[in-house]
Amino acid sequence: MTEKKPVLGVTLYSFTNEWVVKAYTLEELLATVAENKLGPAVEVVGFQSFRSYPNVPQDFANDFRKLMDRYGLIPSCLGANMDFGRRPGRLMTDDEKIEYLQRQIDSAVRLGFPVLRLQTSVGTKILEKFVPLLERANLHMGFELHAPLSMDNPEVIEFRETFDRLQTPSLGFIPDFSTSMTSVPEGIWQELRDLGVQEELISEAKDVWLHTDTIPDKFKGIGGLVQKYSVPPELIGKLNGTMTMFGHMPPENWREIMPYVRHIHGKFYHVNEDGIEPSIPYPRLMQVLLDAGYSGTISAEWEGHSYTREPMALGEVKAWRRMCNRLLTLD
Amino acid sequence: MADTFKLIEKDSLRANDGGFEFLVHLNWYRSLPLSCVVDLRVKVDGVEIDPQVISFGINGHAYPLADLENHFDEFWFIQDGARVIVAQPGLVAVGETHEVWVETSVFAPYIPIGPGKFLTVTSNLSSTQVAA
Repeated sequence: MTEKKPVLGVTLYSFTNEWVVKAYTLEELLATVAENKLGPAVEVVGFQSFRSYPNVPQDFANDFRKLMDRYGLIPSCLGANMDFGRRPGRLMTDDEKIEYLQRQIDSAVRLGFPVLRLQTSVGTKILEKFVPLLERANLHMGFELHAPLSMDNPEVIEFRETFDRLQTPSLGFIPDFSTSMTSVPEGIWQELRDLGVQEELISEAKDVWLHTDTIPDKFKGIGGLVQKYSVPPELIGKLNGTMTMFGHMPPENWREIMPYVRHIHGKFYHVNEDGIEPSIPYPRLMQVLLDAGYSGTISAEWEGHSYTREPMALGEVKAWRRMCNRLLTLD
Repeated sequence: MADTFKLIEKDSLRANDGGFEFLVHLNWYRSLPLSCVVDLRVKVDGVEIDPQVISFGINGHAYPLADLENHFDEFWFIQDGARVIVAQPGLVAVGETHEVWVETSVFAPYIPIGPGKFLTVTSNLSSTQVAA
């Protein structure tokens, strides 16, 4: 029996900086992915890459499929969103949510994506109503597990129990490596330095991140620093963000949810000249995936665009790919 | 080197008989329903414009700011500059140089941060341009 290995690829979301200034057309971006051997798996955030989304006309979808074929790429995951706060004064009803989801299911089917990503903020109560829509479309829905969610979070456990109760392969998870980091990315601190935050505060904030476990405790620690260093109000949100966007769960905790994994977000911020992502333990994470026999898709998800507007995604994604090829011995 | 993101599009200031307009970009990573634009403030040469004379031009339509919340099924595509249309004559004329300032607040209708509350991002930028 040959060893099972993940299928690598990229999410076009990595190229957010380039996309928002129209440095590429969709075709140019797909061609760039193919030329640089960053495929075959391609993930797309519907509300970022497709103008007509959540709707996608059939002729547009046909053209997209032809482009993917021409460049030897395969659709991995369509990033959907449940915009339940979009109506003035009230949240969307269940019927409205289902209508909004159905449009995105139809778009995924037309475009050829096998997995639809959704966030856990939709809750578990409505999932029972999603299942027949997904089964009819032969589509899997993956709920994004991003920091600060961890595998033992009560919300995540509730999702797992709901998947078990509904006994359907249509529902699962899309874990993100942001759940298992060893440090906050240096680019995040650099942005704060550039905004005038003192080195001493940054050093103490790093300690808070490393040595406190729960989000309330982390916020308490940051609150103390805000007082001590008289941090201006406009920076408090950014400082709190350093505590929520990066989890530090041991990679081995991924083992228990592997049967539910439908796709993976290979989050990263920087791969250095030694081929290492200093803030994310890629060797351990990849070993967990290999041990589990995971043969699904992983997207390179560069999120440095959260702190820089520099159009530098291509170099970073290529470096990520060299690192992952090495760790998975895919060369 | 490709362009980097700017909240106000360069060289977009236009003057006309009824007032002036310029293009503003969405400071988020994905397209949003128009109802998620909760605030848009404009200053010209440091003087704040009355929100009642500001309209928001997108997808070939122009809506008063206060009307945006009703357009929850129309989207501001991430790559499109929206026209900020100010119906106030006499402030900006063709050929003049002005400092335009804008502050936008948009919320992510899928990221709740409390009961009925969603993650809101506020950004501002000042840009000095010659009106065309």
